[in-house]
Amino acid sequence: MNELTALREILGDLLDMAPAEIQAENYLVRDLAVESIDLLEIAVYVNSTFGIEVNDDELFLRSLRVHLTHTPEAEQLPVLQAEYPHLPQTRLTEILGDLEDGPVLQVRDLVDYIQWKKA
Amino acid sequence: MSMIFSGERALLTGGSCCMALALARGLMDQGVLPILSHRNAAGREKIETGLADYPGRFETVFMDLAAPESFEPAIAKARPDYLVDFAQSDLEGFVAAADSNRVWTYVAENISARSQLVKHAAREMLKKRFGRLIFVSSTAAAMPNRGQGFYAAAKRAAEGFYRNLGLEMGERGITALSLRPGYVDAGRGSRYLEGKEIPEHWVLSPRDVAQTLLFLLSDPARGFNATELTMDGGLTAGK
Repeated sequence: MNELTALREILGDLLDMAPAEIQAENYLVRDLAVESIDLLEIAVYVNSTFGIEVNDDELFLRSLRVHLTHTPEAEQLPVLQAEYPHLPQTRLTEILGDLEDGPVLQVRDLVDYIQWKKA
Repeated sequence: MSMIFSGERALLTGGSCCMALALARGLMDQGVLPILSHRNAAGREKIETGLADYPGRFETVFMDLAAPESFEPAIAKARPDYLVDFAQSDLEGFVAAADSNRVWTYVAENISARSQLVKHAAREMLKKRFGRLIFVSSTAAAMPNRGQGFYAAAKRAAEGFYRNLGLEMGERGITALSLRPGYVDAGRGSRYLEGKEIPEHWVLSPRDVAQTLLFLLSDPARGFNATELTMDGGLTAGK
């Protein structure tokens, strides 16, 4: 079972949804209405299911906006690349253009973190 | 008296103290497995000697607030449904007189490290969506004596973690509270009480505290969540 499939099962179980309804591009907060306590459970299950050490702040991009505060626009991408080495540059660029619409975290960001940790 | 417990395993930190040993006996009598933590061989021996009449019905595990790396393996071994947190190191002295290095260490162990212990325990409990945590605080948190500034501060800080844990995780079946016993005739409490004229009804035995903790761990007491309970015979109720 690949990471996305396993993660969809975890999310489906925790959020009481059919795994098939959960897409890689879904936003956790905006689309799936995930709350703080759900994130905590997701972290615990990611840790035990994939056998990886989880840093909640990194996994959920929790300090993303803090890292961008007082950072000139030209330096934002390199700052995020350094903070979130698990995310590809294309995704980080996308995130930078998506900040105004709310929390940016998507299901595929968790998959990238899991794969990066397992590598 | 038969009580109802949904959980099966209880981790008792500071497991070699009199109150922990008394609680362990009560838990075993109720069919709950106590796992008592120790910091060294002497502590383990004290537990094994103290519970010699219950062979094979309890476990011990190494865990030390001074060694936060011990938390994860201890929690993984204990897989607790209950945590009763007795562990507390000593630092007595006037705030204006305390040695700086000792203050840093004391705060690191009793506050920072404890928050990590609670975090590991709560995350383990989240897998089962069940857990109950009790911090054994002290009336010093509300009314310290001179020389108890750091002890009182550490107790209040830890009470804060436990209160918020209950607040944040109650909806997932994990509840927490702090118990503030007053004068307990055990350990450093006995040393303090020696030679002092203290009204008898203010003095608690380790068994009194243990029986109260046992009730607080039981299912019907789960409504006591995200709060602090005082058990001091009225000591801190008035001037």
